[in-house]
Amino acid sequence: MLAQFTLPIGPFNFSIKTDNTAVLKNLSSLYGDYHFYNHSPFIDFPITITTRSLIRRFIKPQVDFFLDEFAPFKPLPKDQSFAMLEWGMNWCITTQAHQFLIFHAGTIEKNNKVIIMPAEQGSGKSTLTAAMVYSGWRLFSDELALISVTDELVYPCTRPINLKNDSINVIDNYVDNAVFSTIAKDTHKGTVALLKPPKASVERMFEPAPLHFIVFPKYVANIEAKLTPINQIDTFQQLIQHSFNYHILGEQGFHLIARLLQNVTCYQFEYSDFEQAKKLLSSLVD
Amino acid sequence: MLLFLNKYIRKNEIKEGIALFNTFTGNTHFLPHPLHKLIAFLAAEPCSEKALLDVFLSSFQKSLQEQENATKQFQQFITEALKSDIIIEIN
Amino acid sequence: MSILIQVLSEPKNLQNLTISQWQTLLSQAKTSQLVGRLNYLMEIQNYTKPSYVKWHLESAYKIAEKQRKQAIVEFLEVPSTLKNSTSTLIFLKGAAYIAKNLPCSFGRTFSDIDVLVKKQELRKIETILKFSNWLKTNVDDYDEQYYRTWMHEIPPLYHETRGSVLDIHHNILPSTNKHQPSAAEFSTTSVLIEDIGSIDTLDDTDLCIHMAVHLFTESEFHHGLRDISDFDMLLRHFQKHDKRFVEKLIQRAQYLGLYDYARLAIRYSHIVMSTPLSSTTLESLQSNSLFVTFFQDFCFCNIFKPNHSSCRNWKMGLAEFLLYWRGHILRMPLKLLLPHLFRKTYKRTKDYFKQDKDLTQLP
Repeated sequence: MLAQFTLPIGPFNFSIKTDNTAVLKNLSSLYGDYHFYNHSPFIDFPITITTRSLIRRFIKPQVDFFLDEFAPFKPLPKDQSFAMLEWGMNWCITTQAHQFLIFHAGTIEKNNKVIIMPAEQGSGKSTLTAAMVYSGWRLFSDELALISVTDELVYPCTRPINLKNDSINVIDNYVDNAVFSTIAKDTHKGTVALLKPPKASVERMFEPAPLHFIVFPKYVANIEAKLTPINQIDTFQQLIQHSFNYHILGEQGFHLIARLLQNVTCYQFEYSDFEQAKKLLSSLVD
Repeated sequence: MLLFLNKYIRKNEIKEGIALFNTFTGNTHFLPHPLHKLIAFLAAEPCSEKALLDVFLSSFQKSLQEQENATKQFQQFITEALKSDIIIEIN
Repeated sequence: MSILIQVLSEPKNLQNLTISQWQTLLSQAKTSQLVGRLNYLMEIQNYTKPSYVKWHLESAYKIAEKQRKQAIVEFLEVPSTLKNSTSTLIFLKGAAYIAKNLPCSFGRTFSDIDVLVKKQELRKIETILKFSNWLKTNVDDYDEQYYRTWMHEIPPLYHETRGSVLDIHHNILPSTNKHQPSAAEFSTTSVLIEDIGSIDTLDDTDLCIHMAVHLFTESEFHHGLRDISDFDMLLRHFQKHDKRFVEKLIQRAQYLGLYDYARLAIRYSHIVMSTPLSSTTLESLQSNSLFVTFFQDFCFCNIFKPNHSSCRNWKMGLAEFLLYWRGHILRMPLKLLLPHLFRKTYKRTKDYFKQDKDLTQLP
């Protein structure tokens, strides 16, 4: 029996069909503040997560992710089903939404100024993003910075935040009443849990804002938080490396980045403590 | 032999130099100051390597050291730019 | 008739669709890799794209344009790399459509660049490519052997830095096929590509014939609808410039001993995609055998459809099964076919149970 939900997430309408109880449970707790559609709008990404039939249902059960009727990934163990949904949603956006230049970056906003934080997996950007958005900043995304090629604004695609391994405890201790998904162990990223996004961020998910800062974050144990200006050549190169679709947008992407850099300040950011990090980043936008 | 800026190259000035995009290959290149001047010269009109070097050197101090450094930078630029199809040599 | 085929065969139908119709159309088009083509058809007619579907159409088109640019880079690089080691280098299929700037090339996504070379030069070519950063894709030894011996190509190569994939063929048809026109009998033509120079491809009739042979000896039709739509667009385009094109195509196919493939392609392009044809041509395309006509009509009318639940039924499943066998039998003698198919099934079953060990595909 497949249950179906249709909801907007920023610029996209998703529909999620599933027979998986873990997915249903996590959807209702982590997406509790979202406005689900009663009617049928145009659906950009029809997603289905189903448990594999026949033999696999009993021996190490697995789930499949489908975009419409296409399965882009190999199946995963059933206990990773909610994480798979989130990863799958990222995949949908990064492989198809070329009306945006898309970077692998934590993206937050305050005072109508957006900071994007491009970084590698394991750099702590999602943890930092989580700490910031539970301290008054608006969550756009912990994974994806979407910059429109038309109006050059950054667009939110507000969704639960991906936390891994130690970060789960760190944020659990840092954020009052943090709501997490069920924890998935032994994923290809280690132990993973998703954090419910702040309600205020969810309610403003349709409001884009201009980019003001590009900050490359790095967690360094015991360091005093500091921002070091970084030159635009290095920034440009790193942006290309952290982009999902620069190679598809080609010249259009090239000019877009060059124009953004005219009005944006770029930094390397090292931190170890959230309070210091918050203070320093807030000083940029206040 | 004249040097031409590849007609597929698009350019954007950025703070520390110039960013170049080759619309044929899809590759992006960067040149720091003062090498960006070479692109501006070639964009205006093709010229010989010697003429380009002369114009480039004229923007540096006359000291021997400066001139030598600048020439070295220039040579490196020519080699790399030819290799990456930013500039083309035509008879 | 599925909504996708309705709009492809008559693009006027793209106007004034409801949201619900667009939802179905987009699903069918994504399954069939034809979203970019829809964008192209709307743009040449200046139709308004509804706001909710616009980005889908244009994103698919951007991807196709990127692939077009990549192919053009290879028009420069591949002949340059191979210039001293090959006397023949002919670009085929999707690469040929791009080279000739044909309407079907716009918005068309494809994965590989197909080239035809002389069999005797194959070894030399492989070596040169290996030293120019072209690497083998991941095929096991058995598949590699199968490719080399029974298909007419070596396993695809991919370029380490540019990411392009090259399919090198040394014959138009697999060695075992009954009809064996040599590659030399096909007519080539030189196409001038701006800033690159000339590259070789097949001339218009032979391009269509090659496409027809390829399509009607397939055993799996993952992009069958796209291929028959390509063929339909080729015919419509060539007929615009030469009213006798189809006649000439048929004559040429007869000369090459490949009439039956051409007949099938033209007939089903007309039945499925409504390609305009004269009544005399239509009549001549009928098979003599009522049974054969029935069998072929059943199979091909049901395979050239979007493989999507909105229009898929049991007939498509049966057609897939019948054509799977037909394609293999056409390419391999039965005594080799059975062990081959057994091995493929064994490998697929093994992989099914091995799957949970390989999770590296996720973002």
